Amino acid sequence: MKDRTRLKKKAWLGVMLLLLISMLVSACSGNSGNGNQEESASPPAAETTEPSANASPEGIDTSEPVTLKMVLLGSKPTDTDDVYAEVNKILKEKINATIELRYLDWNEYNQKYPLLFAANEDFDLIFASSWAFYQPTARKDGFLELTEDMLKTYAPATWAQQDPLGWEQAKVDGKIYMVPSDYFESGHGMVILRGDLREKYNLPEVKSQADFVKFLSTVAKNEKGMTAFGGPSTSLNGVALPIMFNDLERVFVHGSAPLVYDMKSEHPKLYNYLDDSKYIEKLNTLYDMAQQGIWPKDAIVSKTDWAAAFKEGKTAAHHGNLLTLAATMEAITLAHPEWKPEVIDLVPDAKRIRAPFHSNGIGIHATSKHPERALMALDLLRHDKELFDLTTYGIKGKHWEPVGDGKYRSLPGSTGYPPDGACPWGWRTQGMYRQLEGAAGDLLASTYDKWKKNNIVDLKLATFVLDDANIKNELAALANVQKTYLLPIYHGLVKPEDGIPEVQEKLKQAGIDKVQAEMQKQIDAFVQSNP
Amino acid sequence: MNANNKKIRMDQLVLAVVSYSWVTLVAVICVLPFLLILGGSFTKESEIVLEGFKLIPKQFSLDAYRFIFEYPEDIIRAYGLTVSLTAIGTSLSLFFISMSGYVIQRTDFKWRNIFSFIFYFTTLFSGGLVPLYILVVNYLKLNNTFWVLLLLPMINVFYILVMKSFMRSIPAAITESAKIDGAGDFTIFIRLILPLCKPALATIGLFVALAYWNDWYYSLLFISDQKLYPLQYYLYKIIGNVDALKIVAEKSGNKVPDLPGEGLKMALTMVVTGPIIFLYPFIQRYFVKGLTIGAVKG
Amino acid sequence: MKTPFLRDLHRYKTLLLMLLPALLFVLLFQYTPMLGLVLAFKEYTYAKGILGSDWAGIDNFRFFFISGDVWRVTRNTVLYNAAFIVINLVLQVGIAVMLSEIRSRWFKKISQSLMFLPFFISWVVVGTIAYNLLNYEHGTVNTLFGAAGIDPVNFYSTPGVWPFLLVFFNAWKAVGYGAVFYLAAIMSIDQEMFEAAETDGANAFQRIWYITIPCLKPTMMILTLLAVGQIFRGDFGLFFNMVGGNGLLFSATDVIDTFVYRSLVENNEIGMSAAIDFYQSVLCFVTILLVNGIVRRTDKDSALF
Repeated sequence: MKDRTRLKKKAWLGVMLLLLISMLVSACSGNSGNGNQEESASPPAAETTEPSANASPEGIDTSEPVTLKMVLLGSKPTDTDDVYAEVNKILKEKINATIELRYLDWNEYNQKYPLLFAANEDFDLIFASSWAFYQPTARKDGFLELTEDMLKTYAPATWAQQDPLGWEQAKVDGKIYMVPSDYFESGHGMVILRGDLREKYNLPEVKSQADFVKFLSTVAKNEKGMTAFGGPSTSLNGVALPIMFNDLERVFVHGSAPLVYDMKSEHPKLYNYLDDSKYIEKLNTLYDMAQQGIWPKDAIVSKTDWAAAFKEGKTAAHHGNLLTLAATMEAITLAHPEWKPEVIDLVPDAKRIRAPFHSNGIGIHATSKHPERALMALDLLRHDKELFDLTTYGIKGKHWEPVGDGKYRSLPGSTGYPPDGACPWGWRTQGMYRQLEGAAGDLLASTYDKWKKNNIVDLKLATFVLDDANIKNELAALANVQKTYLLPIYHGLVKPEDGIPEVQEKLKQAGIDKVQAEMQKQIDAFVQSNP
Repeated sequence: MNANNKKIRMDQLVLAVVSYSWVTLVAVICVLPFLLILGGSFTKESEIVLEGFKLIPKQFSLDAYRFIFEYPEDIIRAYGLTVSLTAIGTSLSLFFISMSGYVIQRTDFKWRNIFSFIFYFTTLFSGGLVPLYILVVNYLKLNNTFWVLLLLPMINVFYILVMKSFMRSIPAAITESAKIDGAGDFTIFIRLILPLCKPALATIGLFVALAYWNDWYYSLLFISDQKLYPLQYYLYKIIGNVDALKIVAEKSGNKVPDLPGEGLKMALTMVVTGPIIFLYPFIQRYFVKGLTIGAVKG
Repeated sequence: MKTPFLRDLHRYKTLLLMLLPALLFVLLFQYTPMLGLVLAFKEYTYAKGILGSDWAGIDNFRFFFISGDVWRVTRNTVLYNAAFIVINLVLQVGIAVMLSEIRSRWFKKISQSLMFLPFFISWVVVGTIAYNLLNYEHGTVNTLFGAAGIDPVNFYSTPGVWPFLLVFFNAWKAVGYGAVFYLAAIMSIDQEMFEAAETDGANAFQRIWYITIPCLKPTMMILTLLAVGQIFRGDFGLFFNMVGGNGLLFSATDVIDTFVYRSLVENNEIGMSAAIDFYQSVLCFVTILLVNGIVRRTDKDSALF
């Protein structure tokens, strides 16, 4: 008797164990499948946001207080909570909502950004950008589609004032998934160099790529303790040293493939730039520069922060976009005015393009419970002067003070909330954005004005978005070929005439022809439907 | 042994010379880069940028350490959290690992190979990050809790298998005779087996403790509440802050004071490693003790 | 009624209960997420989730095979790991035996602590140190070469030296912590065996060869088998931080993991990285089944399972 009960108990134990295990496994698996399927079954926009066509913003019911969760990138400046307490006071009053912030740090956003969507975490607004997962997330249905109705109803100021080009650029497969920023910028590459060294060797003012090379080779030859220049970048996505290629006025469709087209063309034709003798010439120049020791032999693996190195006087020149270089110039003017830093556009006449608006923006989570209120809040962040100033520059009198209407001065307290440093980039708006008082700010403003007048071309393909569904594998393979075989040529480690045939062969193998055909097909179709 | 001490034998002399010299050589090779890091952590950032780092800095600077200890209460809390995680986690982990290791090495346990395989298989195939994240965040709702940091590093299958192999050197006769005396399996394990494998416990324990001590990855994934940052993650965030400040400095045009970059990484290595270096000799002593107890009982 | 299975279940009740915590752990945190393996064959979207996403067949694998580098990176991965296994084994066992022969307590402690230090230095920092040592212009090694009248070596454009450098740095990082395992095993050896050997007139080397080494065999076997089970996985931290984006060296240094990183860092396709992970897992699985099978045949107790 006793034995039997004991046996039963044992058997029970075993059975329970097995049951438990199988339940655990099936519960988790079943749920994860079902849960997500339910979400997909109903397009998220459908019921949550059914804007009545004739509702005016004033007529929107905001009686229910909501907390909007917003995810931004970067590390959280120390005074952020104070600033957003102010922000929330205003938002509470205007639309009965408050914002709760969460920052994804620079060294973790790559990992975590996709996971937030995969786990369908609870958040409403999130920073979105062409350089931070915008298209992939949109294609994977991570963002809520923003319809014209919704935008008109809940973000009227934004809808009215946003450059229409922005909406077009923000479209993925014909649908808008983010509210792009609305601000002019250009990533056009420039150089900054040591004026004192140029004078020391009686060199004329640097005005062209040739002058620049001359300057660098002179420094390399004569300044023994110095590195003339940091060299091309250590990874390859596009060209590795844009300042030497800007005069060719070519644009990439995708940085993973060496396929370019003329930025002025009305019906762009793609071609492999390694077939273009002008490019080969450039690569030969780079090879010569490397041979003259203008950059370190192992610059391709260098761990040096070249911007810092330039500021410390280790190198004689540095390159970057205007925004960066203006800041560098300012820093050097403070620390070493005797260096006489010069910011130079090596190709002043060359055409250039504006940075696409969707390089900064805000998306709304597909499963947000309050998309209307989120849009309303975003509209205020963009177009309410007080809110814009708060989120971008911090608390007036503590972090910054206004200089006239369009400029600002940073106060010492700004280390607690650096201007434009707490990731307000998603709602950066023309007309709201202030210019930094001083030489750097002036340089920036005047140069941008000049470019807008003379140099900026609008790409025919400005709103073209590549659908990479059929060529994902080839693009990945091409990215690898470029980094493996082409990057060393940029660094002058392999002679172009020896290296390029091998690169070409590898590119063929990785399917460059297929990619070119597919891209061209999409471009042609785009041009046809957007004459 | 005592008899041998009186006359120096040739073979032992050769062995001693070889051992001392070789061990010295390897130890020196191991410590040199560390001294370089120590030097780097005290070097002014501008000197690192200009000349790389050296054993003895020309311009001595405490900037990096000052940056790390800027908010001492935060770092103390992080230390506290990491110490408690390591202590609790290591004891639980060692208990489970050794218990499992013991069971799957018992030759009279018919299913030992099946279970070994069930454990081992997880080292081959893994579903990757996304499903784990979904499991922890959506189903277990363990994100932003102490538990997730305690649980996730707890069972390392590699150590179960190493433990199994260590325990094989314990004669099976011990288990058998105890069984004849009527002792239960669990009693045998606690009373007889554990005391016998102290060197193994100390070794595995060391590695488990290090895993807890060094983990920042699970914190990165699952912790966003600043109060729950363990030491490593806290320091990891500091590096992130410096990088971010540099980006911001460029964007805003503000003159940001000299920020330690490379030097900071070096200083972080020192701050994290320091306590362990002090702790290690104690663990070693435990080793030796374990050995003597084992020898007496054996 | 009394089936053999239930009888066994009864017999092993306590043992099974003792296994339960670890078993539950792996079921929950390892086996459940294994559902994610299907991602390798899926066109993943957030809305449809892991199980609901559309099947992609083997499309996620294609980028790897059209690259033309499959053979190269797979070969490199295996060869490096094989070299690591052999060299680490010899070094770690050697150091452990020597440490055990050292009589001076303080010397033993200090040297052991020092050898453990590299374990704490992250690969990022190791990469920086290596660059400091090896770079052409100011590297310590080339400065020393210059002083000795030897022509400087441009390490970063000489693929041939990298297998040695990588093996060296790997061994350097692993020697201290690997030796700890073997030292623990040596300490578990019954002292009477050594004394018996002494009485039999064995010299010190014979004692090591006939007693210490054989006693270390189980530990050597298990650590080697565990390493063999990962032979198709490259140590990303090591290879990425030492070599970086230097394509010139890839012929000698590229492993599967760095290859995948380079291909997918911009695309960030979850399915594609899952696919290569799956490829590595399958190869590891086949390898370990083979090796474990051979081990089982020769020495049943040393086998993993």
